[in-house]
Amino acid sequence: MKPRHLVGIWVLLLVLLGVSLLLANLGNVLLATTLIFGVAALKATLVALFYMRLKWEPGYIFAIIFTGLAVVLILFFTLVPDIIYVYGN
Amino acid sequence: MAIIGGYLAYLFRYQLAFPNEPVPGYGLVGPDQYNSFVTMHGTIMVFWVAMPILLSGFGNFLLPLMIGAGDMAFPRLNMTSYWVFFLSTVVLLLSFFVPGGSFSGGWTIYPPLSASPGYTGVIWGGHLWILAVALEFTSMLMGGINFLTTTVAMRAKGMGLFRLPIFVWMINIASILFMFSVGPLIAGAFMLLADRLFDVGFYLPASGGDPLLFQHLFWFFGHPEVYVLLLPALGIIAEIFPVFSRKPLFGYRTIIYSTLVAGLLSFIVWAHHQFISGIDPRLAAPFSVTTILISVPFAITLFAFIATLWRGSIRLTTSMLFALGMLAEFLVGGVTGIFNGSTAADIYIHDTLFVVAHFHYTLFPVTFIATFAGIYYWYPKMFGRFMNETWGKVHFWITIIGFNAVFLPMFAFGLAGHQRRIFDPTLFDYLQPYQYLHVIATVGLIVMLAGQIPFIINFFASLSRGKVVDRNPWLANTLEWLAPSPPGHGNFDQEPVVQRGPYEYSHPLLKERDWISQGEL
Repeated sequence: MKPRHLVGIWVLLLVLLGVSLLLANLGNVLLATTLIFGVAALKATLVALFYMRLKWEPGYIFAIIFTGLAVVLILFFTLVPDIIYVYGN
Repeated sequence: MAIIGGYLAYLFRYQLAFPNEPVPGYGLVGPDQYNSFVTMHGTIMVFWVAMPILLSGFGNFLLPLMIGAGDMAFPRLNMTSYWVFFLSTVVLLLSFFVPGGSFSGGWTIYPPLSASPGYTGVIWGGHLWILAVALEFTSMLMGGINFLTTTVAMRAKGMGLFRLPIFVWMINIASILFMFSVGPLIAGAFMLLADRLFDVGFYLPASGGDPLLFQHLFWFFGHPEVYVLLLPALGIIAEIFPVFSRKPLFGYRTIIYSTLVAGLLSFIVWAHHQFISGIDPRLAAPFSVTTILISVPFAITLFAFIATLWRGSIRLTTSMLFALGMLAEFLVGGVTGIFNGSTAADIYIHDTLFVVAHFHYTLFPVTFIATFAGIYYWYPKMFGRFMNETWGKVHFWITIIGFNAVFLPMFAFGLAGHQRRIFDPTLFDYLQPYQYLHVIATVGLIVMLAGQIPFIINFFASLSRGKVVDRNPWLANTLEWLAPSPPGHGNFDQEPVVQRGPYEYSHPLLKERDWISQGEL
């Protein structure tokens, strides 16, 4: 990948940062939060793919990443029933 | 560190057998010291003995040799990881000498006991505990990265993934489990530090926090950690069984797949440590099921080991004896784990000596018996000499008899209702009839500790007096036995090329001998 492409992605990340800031001004808090998290996920994906060069790595590297994400989701969603039980909402 | 951990066990075990009498070699143990010794014994044995010996010690020596590599992928990272580990050890040991003494709230450092120094009177000891563990885990992460990279990138020509020795597989799966589980604990530990230093209130109910959150974060790491310790131990005995029964390892691929499944399952069993902590009771049922489910892949592995031994030409060398001892004792630990995994039984036996007996039957074979098996087996490769077999067998029998004398009575004691972490059991009338069991256990511990003296003498004496050996004294297949004993810089005289799998013994087409090296045409 050429340096100018990396600079292009950096510019795109800055644009997305601006989009996140603009979204904070939306009237609907739920919609704004969802969109901001969506943009953040997109930015993280771009960084992982191009700056961490995962786009050119073999498939099992992705398997490791997705396993890590799956483990995070397990921790999060298994705790939810317990939190509901303790705090009652 | 193992000697310090063992000495601490001796101190509090003596207090349990002979309450409020001075302990020979130390003096009187007070209640605060008792709590501190129990805490530090657990901490040292799990984090500073089991992990470094099994993963780092055996892993760093054997992994490059077994895959035909000259060194680890990142030698400097390896050295950094060693010095960070050394620093963590200094920090942990310093905690014994700061005002207030070392941490005393149990090795699981549950809040609120650990979050507010007011409960235990330990201030700096707790801070240093957290710092030491964070440093130690950082060091282990560096080691794990190195193991994975070395295995992925530096295998000898012809060494496909399904030609790797089981030990290499186990080290790598253990490293992956550690990486995926350690994050929540390090984050949780620093949140705990924030509570202690700045009263932030993550875990303190008075500040709006929830102590259960820490338990979740701790055991989300803590349970996979059990397998981080177990897998290298299983890997060690998987290398020893085929060599001393002269048979191929039964179910090579099945063991790998079932270990991967067990690794995945290990992330959804952690709440079995919390059945009576106040979690949602509906959560207990699925965790009970997954806990009992995880015994299936390990049962497959253990049956594969037994099938390997079946009708083999078994040679009872010291390392083979220790490997068989590991299998037998670990089976007791595994079976008693099913009691704990079942919610109804666990409610009764939770926090009793039954649990202490169970996890010692799991972790002692893993940490010590398998380690001894590995040391006796690879000593010729490490130093170019044999250890004395007769003294090795004396060491084996004293260790096994002593170990069972310590922990077998605890199953009965636990079922009789003896809770853990009691300073003076004679204060409870219902425990009086069983006090003699504490005496048996303590005598057993002293026997077991004394039984390590022949090992230590044998280990050092054999460095100069042991019988000199050639490269492959056990007639084994794996690549490490192709290297000189001890291996020089770069490990191999010439880069090995792998021709076959690691466990080809008693091949029907081979008439003149019963083994063929991985590197032979």
